[in-house]
Amino acid sequence: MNARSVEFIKTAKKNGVPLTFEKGQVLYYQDHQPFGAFLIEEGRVELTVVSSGGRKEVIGLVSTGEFAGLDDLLSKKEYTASATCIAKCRVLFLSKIQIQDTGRGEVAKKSASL
Amino acid sequence: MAEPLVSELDRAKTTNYYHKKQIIFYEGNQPYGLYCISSGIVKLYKTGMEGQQQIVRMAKSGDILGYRSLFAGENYSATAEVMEEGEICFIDKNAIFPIVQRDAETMMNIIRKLSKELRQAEDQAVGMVQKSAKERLAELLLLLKNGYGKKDKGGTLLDIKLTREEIADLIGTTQETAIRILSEMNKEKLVELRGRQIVIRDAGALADIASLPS
Repeated sequence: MNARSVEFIKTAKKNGVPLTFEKGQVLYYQDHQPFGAFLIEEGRVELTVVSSGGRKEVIGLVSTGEFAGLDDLLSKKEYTASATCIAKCRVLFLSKIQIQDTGRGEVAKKSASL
Repeated sequence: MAEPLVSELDRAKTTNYYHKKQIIFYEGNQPYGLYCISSGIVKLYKTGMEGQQQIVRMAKSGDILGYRSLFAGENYSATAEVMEEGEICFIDKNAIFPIVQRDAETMMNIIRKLSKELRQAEDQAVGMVQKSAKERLAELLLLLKNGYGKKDKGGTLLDIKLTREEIADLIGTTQETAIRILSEMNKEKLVELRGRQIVIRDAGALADIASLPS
């Protein structure tokens, strides 16, 4: 886990909105503009993409202690996959503003230490 | 709304294009923002013990979703599913609450919207108890005419594709009853059925059936 992830986890634990999703419920959809990221506290999330031929493929799993959607948001791209809970999930939601502000705080800290 | 507040909201806003059947939020989950519909149609439904859907209402362009639960601090009372694809924006609650607390005009707009919604819910509850399925269907068709009506040869085309099951859910009856009444209305030339599309041909007569002013 890198220092950046640790900082976002700290923010999520401090300011994230606690949410619960049932099995089969979707956190976000592929190709949507990211509105936030979800720190998984309990449960598991499946990342799937739909190919141009319409076939659904699993491209990854997000487990406890990891973020779903954070990399997409930080890279300022659309969500690269849809995220669906494959078990009941307890998550902490961080909005895009909270993530941007946390990211800026990190940059400011780095500049100050130079 | 003052300019600084608008830019604050703009920063917090994320607009996405939703496809048919995509879920915006789920009944029983905690709200973390609200949704504004720019285009498309969304149905809000509750799921019964046996998994059957009961449509509570439909929302269209200009409507806001999820604010009642958000401000009440309650879980969503219904699931929001896209019926006709369109653009929907999300604003997270961390941006909304400070604005509502600071800006009286925004607060008043929300109170107005909530009051209007409460009135509609009261009317709907009374209608369910006191009106027959035919009266409720006539009322629904007129509501749809106001929200989704487009001028068409010989009447007003309802520019929304609803299955017979969805129509039945909306008026709280069985699919068979909804089909029977629609077919009666078709014969009586009150409506014209074109597959799944419905054209209102005699709004005045429907208003009489629904006991509404035409």
